Amino acid sequence: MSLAQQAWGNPSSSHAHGRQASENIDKSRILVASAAGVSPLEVVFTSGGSEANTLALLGTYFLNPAQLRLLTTPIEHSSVRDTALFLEKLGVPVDYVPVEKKGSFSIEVFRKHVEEFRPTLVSVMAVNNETGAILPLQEIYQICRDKKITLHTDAVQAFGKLPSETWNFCDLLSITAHKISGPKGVGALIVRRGTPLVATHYGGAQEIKRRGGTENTLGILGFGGACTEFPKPEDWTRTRELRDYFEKTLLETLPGVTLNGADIPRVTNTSSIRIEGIPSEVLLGALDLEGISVSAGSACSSGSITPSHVLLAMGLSKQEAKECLRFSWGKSTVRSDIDTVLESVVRHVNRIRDRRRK
Amino acid sequence: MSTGYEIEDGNKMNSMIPNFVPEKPSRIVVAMSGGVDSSVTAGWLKEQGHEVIGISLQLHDMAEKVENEFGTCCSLSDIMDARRVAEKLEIPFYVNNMEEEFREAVVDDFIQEYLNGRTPNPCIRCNEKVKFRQLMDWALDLGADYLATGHYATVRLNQDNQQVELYKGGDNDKDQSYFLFAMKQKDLAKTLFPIGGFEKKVVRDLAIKYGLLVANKPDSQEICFVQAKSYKDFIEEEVPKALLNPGNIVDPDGNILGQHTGLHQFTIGQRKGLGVHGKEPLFVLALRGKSNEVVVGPEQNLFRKSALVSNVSWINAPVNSPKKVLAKIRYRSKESPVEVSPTAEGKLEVKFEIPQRAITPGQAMVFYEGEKVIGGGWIEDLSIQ
Repeated sequence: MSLAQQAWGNPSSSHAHGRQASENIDKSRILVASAAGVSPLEVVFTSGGSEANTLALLGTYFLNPAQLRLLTTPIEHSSVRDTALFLEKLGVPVDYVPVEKKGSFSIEVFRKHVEEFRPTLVSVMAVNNETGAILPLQEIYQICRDKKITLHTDAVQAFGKLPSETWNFCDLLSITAHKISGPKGVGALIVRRGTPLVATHYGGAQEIKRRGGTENTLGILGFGGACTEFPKPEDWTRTRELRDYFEKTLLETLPGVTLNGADIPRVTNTSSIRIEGIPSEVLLGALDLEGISVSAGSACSSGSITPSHVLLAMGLSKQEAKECLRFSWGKSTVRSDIDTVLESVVRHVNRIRDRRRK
Repeated sequence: MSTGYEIEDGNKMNSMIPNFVPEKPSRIVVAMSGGVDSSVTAGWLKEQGHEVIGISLQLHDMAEKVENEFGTCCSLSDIMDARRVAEKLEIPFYVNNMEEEFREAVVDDFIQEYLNGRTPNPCIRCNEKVKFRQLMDWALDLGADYLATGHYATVRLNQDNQQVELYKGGDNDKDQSYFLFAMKQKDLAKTLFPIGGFEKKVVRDLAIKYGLLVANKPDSQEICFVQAKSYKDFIEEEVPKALLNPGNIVDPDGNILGQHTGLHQFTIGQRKGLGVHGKEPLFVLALRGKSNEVVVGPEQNLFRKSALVSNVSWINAPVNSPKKVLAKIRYRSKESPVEVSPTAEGKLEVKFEIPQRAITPGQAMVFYEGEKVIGGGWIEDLSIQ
């Protein structure tokens, strides 16, 4: 709380405390912009990735509701997916580019959808949050640029895991602080110069009139701070080694294990694994009781586990999707941590399979 | 407040009546619904020194339909309550979404039974097809020694044959042993009803003692997934109009007295809302699924001395020859003396000493010997088609 007590000024106030707060926010804006490789004036702070995604889609819609045609994918984060469903209810034509069975994204299929559907806005994530699959954003961007289509990308999972220049060329970019070990509840929509957008929150002229309301000053400071320790290519090399070791060992040790998105390029911090015959909530609980945190499906507000729409879109059956878990690690993970997890997973899977055979 | 003391055989005696709870510290998974009973179950077990893990199945999400969900079970807001209880008790808590399985195994069956002119009991079906199946597997997979629930029923280990026996709960008003008759010995041996011997008042006092916010939450009353004004309204919301078949209302001799717009609006013994009148008050006597007829007549015709029960299951030794026991024909009826005789088809003929009012096809008939549940089955339709 001490920082909160020091930083109590309202950044919109003209007095010294307010000016101090405003200056701190702008320092963070520069740090975030530099991490993302964009200009500080393009950074609109939000409450996180979900708000950034919603603002990108709704802020484009409100520019010209009658004109919007949205093309997206079935593997987006629920903040994009649910906003798309809402727009559909409002009468906006929405089309989805399917993904291939193994999770890969075909640029030819995308091109076909662009030509036939003629979208005015495309929203495609840079990296999938469940499988870690990297989407061909460069090629998607080229098609959009040629056709003068606005391109939004949910870059939440790419931020800090892929070089910025592989995704920061899009017109609208969503990022969030907690993906680079920053505080939760703060993020940004990056609105590249020349991209029109209107605010969906009103209240004041904050964030260059793109997002009214008093800024989350402390959160923004934390976001800026996290950017000073932005991951470097060496970090990715290390996490790649951990990932490859984890996946190889698990696949060799346990029968009936499959890796979702095995054949496509993926970021280095995540493995989405299906273990036949083991419901995800069972293994998740057994590991949690030993202090190992893994994820399953997408957690809804109650924390209940539902089969992931991403895995279903990749062609897994509901039953198969209910046997998938997501293992993730970060900068501080070391090889002995991976060994601990492997030992625990193998022991529990064998125990549960034995019990269920009886 | 004293809630536990030892009796000679080593089982912990926690209530006015014996109820097995292991003495040795065990890993116990508690099925938490967000209500006061399962919450106190978790708190009490923890207090006794067990390692307690909470789990919940999310069975439906009616947040979009209703504002106030108090008095339900296993909906989204109930799961939130369960989570808060687990946080307060500092126990791990996991939730799994089983909306689809629940819909298929319980809700669809409920609707179909009504359309067929039967009056279903979805809670027993849910216990059998969803709860004790999924929860038990999950608990054992988590390495648990036992699964505990907040039911008002008790268990005892018979030292002579090492069988687990199921008994009524300690609170006569709240006894839920009726809903558990279909439990298999294998599952019962791994199931605990820790608060089953308590009175409800004690449970609420314990909830206050543990500082649980659900202490004053109302008991669930109606069927958890029905938020409509009535079952009739619920079925009409869920079922396309074309599947609701109109038919005739007839007297026992087959004379047509009027028309109805679907069997789902009626249950045996119903008097109101029939839309037909006679010299004396008319009651629904039978629902004929095949001909879609509602049979009405005077109240005395509702009383029957026999019934046929199918899908019979026994908790301990099966009853293979005629036997005098007590039978309960619905949750809220008193037990009544009967003689049960197995038929060649594996069903059970039941003869009542005292005629019973409105024996209803689709409901469970549960058999007792004193306080002990010995088994039960499902009431068949005996009306003349």
